[in-house]
Amino acid sequence: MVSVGVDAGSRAIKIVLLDTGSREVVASGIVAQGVGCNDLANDLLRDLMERSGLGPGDVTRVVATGYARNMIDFADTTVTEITCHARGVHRVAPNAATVVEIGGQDSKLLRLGPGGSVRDFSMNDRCAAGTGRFLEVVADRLGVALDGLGPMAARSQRPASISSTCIVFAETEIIGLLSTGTSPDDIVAGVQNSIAIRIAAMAGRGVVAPVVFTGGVAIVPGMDRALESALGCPVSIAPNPQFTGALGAAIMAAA
Amino acid sequence: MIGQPQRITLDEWDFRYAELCGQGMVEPSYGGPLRRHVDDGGDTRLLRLRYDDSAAALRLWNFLLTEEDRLREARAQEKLLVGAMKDLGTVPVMAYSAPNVVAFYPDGAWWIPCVMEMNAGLMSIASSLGLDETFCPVRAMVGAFVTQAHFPIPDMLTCSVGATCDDFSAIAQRLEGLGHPILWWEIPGRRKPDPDERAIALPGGFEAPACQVEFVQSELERVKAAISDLSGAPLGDEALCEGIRAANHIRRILSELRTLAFTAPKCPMPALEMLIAEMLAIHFCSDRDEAAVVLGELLDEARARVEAGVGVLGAEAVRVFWVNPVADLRVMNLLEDCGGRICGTEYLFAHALDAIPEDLPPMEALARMALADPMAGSSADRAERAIGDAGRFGSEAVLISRIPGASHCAYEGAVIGEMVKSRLGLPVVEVEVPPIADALMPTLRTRIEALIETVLAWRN
Amino acid sequence: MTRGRVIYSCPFIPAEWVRAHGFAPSRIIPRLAATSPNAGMCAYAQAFADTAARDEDAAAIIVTTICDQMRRSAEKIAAKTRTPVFLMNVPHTWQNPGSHKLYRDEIERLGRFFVSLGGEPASNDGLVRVMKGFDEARACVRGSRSMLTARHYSESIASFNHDPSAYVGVSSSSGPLAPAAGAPVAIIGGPLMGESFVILDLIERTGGYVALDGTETGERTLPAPFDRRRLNDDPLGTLCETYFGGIPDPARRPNSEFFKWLGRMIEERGIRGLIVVHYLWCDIWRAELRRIAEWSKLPVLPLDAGDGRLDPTRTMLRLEAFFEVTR
Repeated sequence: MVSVGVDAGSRAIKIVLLDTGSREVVASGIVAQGVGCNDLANDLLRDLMERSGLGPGDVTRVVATGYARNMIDFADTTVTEITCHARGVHRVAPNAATVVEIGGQDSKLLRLGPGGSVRDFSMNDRCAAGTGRFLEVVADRLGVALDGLGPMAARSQRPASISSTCIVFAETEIIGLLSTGTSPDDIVAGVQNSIAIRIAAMAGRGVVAPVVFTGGVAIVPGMDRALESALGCPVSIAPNPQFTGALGAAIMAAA
Repeated sequence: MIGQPQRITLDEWDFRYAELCGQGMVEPSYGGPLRRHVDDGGDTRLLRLRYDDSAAALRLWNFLLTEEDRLREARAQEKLLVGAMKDLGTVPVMAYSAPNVVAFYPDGAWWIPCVMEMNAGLMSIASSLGLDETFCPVRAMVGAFVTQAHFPIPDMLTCSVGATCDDFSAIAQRLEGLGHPILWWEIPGRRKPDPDERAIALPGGFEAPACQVEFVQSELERVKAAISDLSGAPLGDEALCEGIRAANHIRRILSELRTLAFTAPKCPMPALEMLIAEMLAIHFCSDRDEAAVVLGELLDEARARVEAGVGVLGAEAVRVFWVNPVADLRVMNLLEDCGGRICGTEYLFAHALDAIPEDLPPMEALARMALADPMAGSSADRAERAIGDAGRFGSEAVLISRIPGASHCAYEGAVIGEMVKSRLGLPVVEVEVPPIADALMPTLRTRIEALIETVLAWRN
Repeated sequence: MTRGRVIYSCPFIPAEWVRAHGFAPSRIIPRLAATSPNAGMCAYAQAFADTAARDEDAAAIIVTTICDQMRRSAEKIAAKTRTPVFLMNVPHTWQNPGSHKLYRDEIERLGRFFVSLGGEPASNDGLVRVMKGFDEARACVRGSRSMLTARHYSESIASFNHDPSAYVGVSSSSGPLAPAAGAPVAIIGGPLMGESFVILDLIERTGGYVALDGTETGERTLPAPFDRRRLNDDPLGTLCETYFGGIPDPARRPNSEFFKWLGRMIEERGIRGLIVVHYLWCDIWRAELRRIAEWSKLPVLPLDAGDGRLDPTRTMLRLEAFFEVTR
């Protein structure tokens, strides 16, 4: 028997099947978000079940999370991604005390309690300048792929200072920096630092280590180093960071 | 014989310094090459600025950049430190009238992020305390109190509140919440007297009802009592009168310097040095007597240049009236790079540039001056003052720089801009200047150049 | 029969004083401004300025200096309307007698303003009568808390402040509502706009119940009952002391009394979490968010009302997560 966790995010739908007996992950999958979110999720689930040799009767419970969680009509219940990421990270990093999750549209900082419970959380409020969207903007503007950003930032000698809180104005700043001859490496480093600084601001005083970085942006090279510098402590990337939300949902479904 | 003055880089200052030393330049104890502030103090922004090349300007910069040393020295000598927050120019006059007291302006920490190019980490600390970029760059002050790396914790903190600005009030309250007791004193919103009220003339041309002056005076009496308690000696009228005279001496020097700089056919002193010079009026950069000497030398240099018919900029430079101080000093260079020159300023403390009345009891004189604070009145009042000065100095355009996060800027710009346009017919542009404006330089340059081009076209 | 409506939003304007001069006090609940505010401009101040300037029936508009955004809005309003605008100084300091005297002087100046508009000078007896009436009406408002949902209670307070003469109270025959399920939370913050009251429903829908509406439009700014021992001898003094001396607000300097009040309420009402509703450019509340969290050691959810619209999707996510944490 499996429990199912569906993370219907703003950019992608992720599903994790969890064996309710052994609590091991049986299968996981991802598909780009799009029109007809429920159908997309359903198709992905069906595909994962078939490949695992499972049928509908093998599912005990489905928990949906993420931005579009209320659109998943086959979910038995919904839980916010805050709680789910906390549970998911706790499963793969039981010692984690702080979780940073940067997604495409928002970012979160969670302080964990016992058993992966959430003691409190902060979310960025105003603008995509603290999210993965900003990385997409800079990658697009510089004509590079997202996975090329890390090496560029690593080469930076003098990260640029980006002051705007709004991504529209921040893009103007990037254009300005390019026109004044600032190296793309320094611009990328500046953008990564800008995102990391906003996360650090959410953390307040005294970040409690260990810090685990999860979510889609965690797989963008260099962001972990930028976070370490801003937070002033080591940051580790969760294994399969895109799936911690879905994993947490599956864990909650199995509870 | 006066040579052709120039604006030079820090690298060029290395040569210029050697040249001036060779000519027998006598420096104060805090003197030395500018570069040492980069090497020892981490003031890396200095590498990107351009400076006036006179010995007087060197002294000005060294005076500014050694304030932290002076404050530590004062603490080591067991002098009492008063941190006067928000009120720009009143409490320091009182504090310096007391024996063994040094006043300074913790808000001045707002320039540290620029000067140290964010390496001091003050903004990060402020953000961690809940004061993010939606707040004015003065939030750096809280970071400075936390690190204690820039000034010693004062023996007493005062803060004016009421008709000030919410940013500062909130930032100061956060500071108090961190364990720094503050003596809060109220400045009411200045209003015009009602028909049945006695009107009192304030410096700067404003009026207020007598009851408001009396109230502010009573508030300043509380501050005076606290300073007296701190210093262990009652602060009497004679000492206060002497303090007012000393402050006015500085204000007179500055007034003459401003008039020269703004009206001479060729600009004798660059905008950046003029900005720093005006700031000295607020709290004398922690040494009132030395501030007078520094400004006196700057004035002498400006006079000499005007007499010799030379200037740092050509006669064709467009005369721009500047409203609000900038968080990034580099922008003052940018004005001149674009073909402008500073011709009038309203840096939020115009009242600290006016003479404090010496024909009144000192506390009443200080109360009248405090109530003349541009922030205490309406935006229209501020605009009136700016219009008067712009007309007096012969400004050809007005530039309003917004301070990111400062709530008053969201309201005032439109009011001031509209009034200037309708009354003086001058072109107006608004720009926003964050502490590090490097990324915005092209945008800022475009706006300033457009303003300059507009004026040049009108001239023709 | 009154001489017209006097509109305002600041809780430090005593409604009794307006009424005693023959005007109808109306603490308005603005609705979103027609245009989004400029960067740096508080959405509430913009909405108030918009709403007040468009109210052609008002006899006067009162704005106070309790916050800088509102202080500067007074100029904007005066430029857009012919209705007389009165800017009243409400001191931020409170620990010295001079501030209390300034407040009282300003109240008296406001009274002269009312007289200049054709109002009656306020007599002591008249003021006492009005104050007793308002006291009794507010007692009814308070008494209805257990009989109404959180939203209805908050709206009844707002409605009372908006038009005290129209307040009809709640019938006690229906008895108290059953205690709501869910985690008891307090909602604190600045004033709610018309569009924002929905937050109270959202809280109860997502698993909490509002044990305290500490927003500026809620019970935090309901004046305490008047000191009846002083009332007859010095009604104006009693009025000033109750308002200026009694309403907790984070804009006061220092704002220690606000934290004392909040601490008391947290204990009295068993509050387990704090939801802070604020506007993006409201420095007063934004600066307190982190401090409130550190001081209270409770889960704190900041809800940024941005330009005045509480985005339902974002708000629901945050509330759901918040109640998952507080459960």
